Amino acid sequence: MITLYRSGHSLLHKTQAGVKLLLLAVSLLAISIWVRDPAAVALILGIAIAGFFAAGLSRSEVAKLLWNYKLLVLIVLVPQLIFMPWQAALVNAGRLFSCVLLAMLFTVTTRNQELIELIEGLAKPVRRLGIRPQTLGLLVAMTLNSIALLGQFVVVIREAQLARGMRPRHYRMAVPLLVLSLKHADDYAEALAARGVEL
Amino acid sequence: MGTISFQQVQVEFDGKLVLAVEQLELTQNTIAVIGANGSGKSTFARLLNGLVKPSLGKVLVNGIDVGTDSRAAIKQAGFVFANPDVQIVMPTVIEDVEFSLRDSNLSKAEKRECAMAAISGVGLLGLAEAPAQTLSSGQKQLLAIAAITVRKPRLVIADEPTALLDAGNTRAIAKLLLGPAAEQVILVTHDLALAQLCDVAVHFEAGRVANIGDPKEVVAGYARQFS
Repeated sequence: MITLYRSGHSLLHKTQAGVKLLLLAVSLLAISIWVRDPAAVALILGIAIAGFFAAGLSRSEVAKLLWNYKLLVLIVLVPQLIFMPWQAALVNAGRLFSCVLLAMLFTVTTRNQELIELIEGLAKPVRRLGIRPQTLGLLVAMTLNSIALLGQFVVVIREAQLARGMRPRHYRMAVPLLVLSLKHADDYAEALAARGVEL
Repeated sequence: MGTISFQQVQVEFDGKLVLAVEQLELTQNTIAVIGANGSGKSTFARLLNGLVKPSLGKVLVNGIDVGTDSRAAIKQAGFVFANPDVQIVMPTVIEDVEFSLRDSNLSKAEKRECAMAAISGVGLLGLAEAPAQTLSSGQKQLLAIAAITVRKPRLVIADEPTALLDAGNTRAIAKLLLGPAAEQVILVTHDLALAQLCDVAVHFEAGRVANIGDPKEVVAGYARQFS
């Protein structure tokens, strides 16, 4: 399992996961409702980025993290630039990007275990439907963390295809990626069973 | 003292017989299981904690029938896989070891203390907060062992735990497992030098026990096939 969490002793790390989640929800709502001009968007983006520094990330780590979202920004920004004034397009893309960064800040400063406990706590009512909150907590945490694992699989497949003289293409990735993921899921399930996890 | 008992056990997958053990009693602390690929070693190992259920017969581990009470079987056994990547569930070293204690009655602080002790025991104390995926293969296997031994299982089953490791890491893992890491340790391995360090060796061939006894003799008999 791959984590986005960075260990640290900052205020953000020490704040309870539930409080952080509540603050995140309120922030996202406030951004959606009230942030309408470029200056406000720039301020929110600045706060989000400052949050990463406050969490103890280095300048290069923050730069890398921001760079990872280049595609997302382009996908959101380019179509809007075609259909609306550039100022409005920038504000919309900036709002979305700041929401993503704030959510990322939550993940970077929250231990997986805290996340699981939080989800288990929130999911208590589903017990009435016969679903164990523990299962739901583990499922969500593992799903979030396993997304990055797919990236590792893509690298492995790409290298294997290059080693066999093939040019890696997206359509050539699909089947091996599916097979590798299913195989990993099988192995993972066996390992979870061996560790006494009841799903 | 741990006891493993096989009584007229057969395991079939898709109608094909993959393991047949008529009678077997193991009471030694460290038990090596050797044999060629597909000889039934891993199936034998997985029977011991209920990951695989016998199609026929009974497997008793410390008096627990693993075919009917797999929950108790899993609880008393720790399983170390060849590839530690599939075994690591949580993102950081400390969280992964703590994950093994999630069902215990310990407080948060006690869980942390136990986890730190287990991490220290395998020599990873300095990496407690490190992301597990950044560890080397050897360190990951050490983490897998810490995550198993923190529960203090009566039986540790290791299925080719050194298959992906270099000589130095193999030695470190062997030292930990054959310490012994529990009342009984089952070591499934292709490393014949490692097998000889155990109290007893079981040689599997085509799903059956071909030889059992003094590790040096069993290993020598197995190795003669290839000379």
